[in-house]
Amino acid sequence: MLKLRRARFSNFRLLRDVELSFSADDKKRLTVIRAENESGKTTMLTALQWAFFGDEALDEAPGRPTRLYPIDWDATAQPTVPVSVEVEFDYTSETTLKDGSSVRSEETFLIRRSCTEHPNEDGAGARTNNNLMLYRLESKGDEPVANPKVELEDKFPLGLRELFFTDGDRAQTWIEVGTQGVKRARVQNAIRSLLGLDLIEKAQDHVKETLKSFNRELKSIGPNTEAGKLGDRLAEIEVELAEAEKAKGDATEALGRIEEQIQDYDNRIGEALRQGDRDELQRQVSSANDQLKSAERTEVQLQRQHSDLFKDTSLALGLLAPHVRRARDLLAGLKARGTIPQKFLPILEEAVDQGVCVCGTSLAKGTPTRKHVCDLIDEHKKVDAIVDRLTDLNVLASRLAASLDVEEAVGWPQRARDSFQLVSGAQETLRTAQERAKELERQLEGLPDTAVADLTKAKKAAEEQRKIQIRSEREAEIKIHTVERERTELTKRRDQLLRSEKKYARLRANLRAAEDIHGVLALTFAAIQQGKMREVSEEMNRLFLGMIVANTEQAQKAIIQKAEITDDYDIVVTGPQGRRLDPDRDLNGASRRAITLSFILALTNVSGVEAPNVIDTPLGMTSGLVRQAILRTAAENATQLVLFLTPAEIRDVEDLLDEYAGAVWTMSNTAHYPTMLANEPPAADLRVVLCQCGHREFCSVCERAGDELNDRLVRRPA
Amino acid sequence: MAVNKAQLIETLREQVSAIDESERIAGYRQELLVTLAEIVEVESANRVRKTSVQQDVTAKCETLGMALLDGGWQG
Repeated sequence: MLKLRRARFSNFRLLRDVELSFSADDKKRLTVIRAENESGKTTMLTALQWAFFGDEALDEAPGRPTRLYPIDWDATAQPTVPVSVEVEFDYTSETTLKDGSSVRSEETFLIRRSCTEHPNEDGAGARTNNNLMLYRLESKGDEPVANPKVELEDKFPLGLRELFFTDGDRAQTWIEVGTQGVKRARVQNAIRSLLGLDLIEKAQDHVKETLKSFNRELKSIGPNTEAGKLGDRLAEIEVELAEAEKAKGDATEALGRIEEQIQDYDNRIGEALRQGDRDELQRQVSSANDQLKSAERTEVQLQRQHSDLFKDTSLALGLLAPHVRRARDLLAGLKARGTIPQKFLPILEEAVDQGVCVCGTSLAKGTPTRKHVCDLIDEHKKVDAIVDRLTDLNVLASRLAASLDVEEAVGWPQRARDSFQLVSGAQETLRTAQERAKELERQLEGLPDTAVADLTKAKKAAEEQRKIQIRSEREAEIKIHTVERERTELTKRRDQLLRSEKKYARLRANLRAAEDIHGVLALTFAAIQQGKMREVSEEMNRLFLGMIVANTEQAQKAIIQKAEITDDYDIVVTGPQGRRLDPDRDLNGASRRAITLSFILALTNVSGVEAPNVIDTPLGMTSGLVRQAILRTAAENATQLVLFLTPAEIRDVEDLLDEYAGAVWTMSNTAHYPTMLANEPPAADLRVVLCQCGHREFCSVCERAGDELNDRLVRRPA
Repeated sequence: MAVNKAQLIETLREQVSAIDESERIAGYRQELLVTLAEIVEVESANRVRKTSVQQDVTAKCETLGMALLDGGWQG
């Protein structure tokens, strides 16, 4: 609900500085602004609309801006004109709760719309600095509202401007001006907006789009049976997996056993080997035999060498040593005495050979000396056999004696001892070899023929089994891996499908919900269109007949019998025998105003939309009972009613104004002095001056000059 | 202000009664009415602010659909 509280106008045409308040009394909801013609009624109506709707409310022709500044503005003194309008209003908003109920909250706002106009010679002027501010009035101060244009459009849509701000002279346009299409569109727009048909229709459109998208999605998914098939396959997989896992378990278990067997074989082979390996023993026997033979050969050789020691001259020398040394000494004595050796014979023989004696004498053949020497040589040769023998013995004795010295240094006994030790060692080695060979032979003979070989063979067989089981285990693992992978993939796919199925179910539910929503919206649209529109039509008829004071008791005598709104949004009036009346020709001015006001009031009443009806000269062309009926009906049916009335319109409705008006203001135009105003106005320029005179009062400001209506008024106390 | 929402919702409430709740879930009419009221709010807000009205309306339909499913509606 929107309710006007106060307005202030500054330099808006003749409203140079006017401020007034509107009646907020729920019991007296009417505000009357009394003014003669050309005293600011239409200007104020326009200014109020400008405050709410901006320049669009000015109905300006393209490229021809309407002048807002006062017509007599002195542009030389002040080249720009600050224009502004402030409107304070209460606004009750509704919030829908979860349970479908609604709560109301009331706030007070202030619109301040302003601009700067630049007057020019042709009376128009550029408009700059257009500005709109909206404030939320709170006890702690005024709070600017963001996006004021949007907020205002939300609270008071431009489309409803003509419904709530009505120029009486143009009020009949709802039924009589323009083509049928224009009138119909105007009525249709008002009805659809206020009854919520537009909103419902848009909601239907959006839900319809939602339905389409749901249907498309549903079609793209579709019901499917693949998830079931995948479920079957997954069940098979579980069996395969169990089998593969059992096979793997069996193989692992067999492997364990085989490993134990192999270990057992290893242990037994080790044990057997510790007892002896036949082949190895054989090799050892052979080796021992070789060693034995070698030892035998060594022993024989050493024995031989040892025997040879007893054949050695050393042994004889050792035994003959004292005799040899005695002989050497004796012979050495002979030699010392010159007995031995025979020294001259070789010398003589050499001299004969050379033909010269050692003394130099020639021993040439035939010479006596040579003969003497040759005879001497023959004589010596006869006695020298013994000397030669002794000489040889001396040489031999000397050599043996020297050998004895050497022999005594080495020592045959030592050599004999050494040789003996060697022989003894060889004999020991031989004996050891013989014992080793015998031992090995004994072991070889005592070794079971098949132990190691059989165990080795069994071990190899076990190892083969192990390979087989490892392969089986590996194959089982591969199978498990493969099946598990398939299971993972199929599970994923199945889950996708299940999700898809869930999505399908969800979409079906969404579709059901959207269809229900759409269905209810359609029913609601029809209910509003048929029910509410009929209500509006009937209410309009009731108000209209009341306004024109139709004779409802003897309806057959009335010229106007019924007004209604057709399904095509035409407002039609019918007369006797159901004949449709042409508003332009068959209705008088009062009836035309009445039916327009009736439609507006009926629509606002039925729609429940509460906003002020601001009407300029609604009672023009009316009089008497009709005037009273129109005023009474409007006052009783409007949420807040602001009427701009001329003093002439007020005539005959003063009592009603007494009854319904909560506030009355009087506006006067200073330009009317002295022709129509009795007293010189307080301002010299052209402007509207406001006074608080009620509809039965006048004051020095508004006192009319020579007006017969003055007789009906009383002077308001100063 | 353009529409008296309380009156509009009252009309919606009257039409919701035409829905056979036995074919949906218990309490469905109230859920449906709440959804319709929310859609009225969405449309009303969009009239001046140009919100993502289509998405919002779809979301409201889905919410009601979810309520159907959660309530055990089998279709």
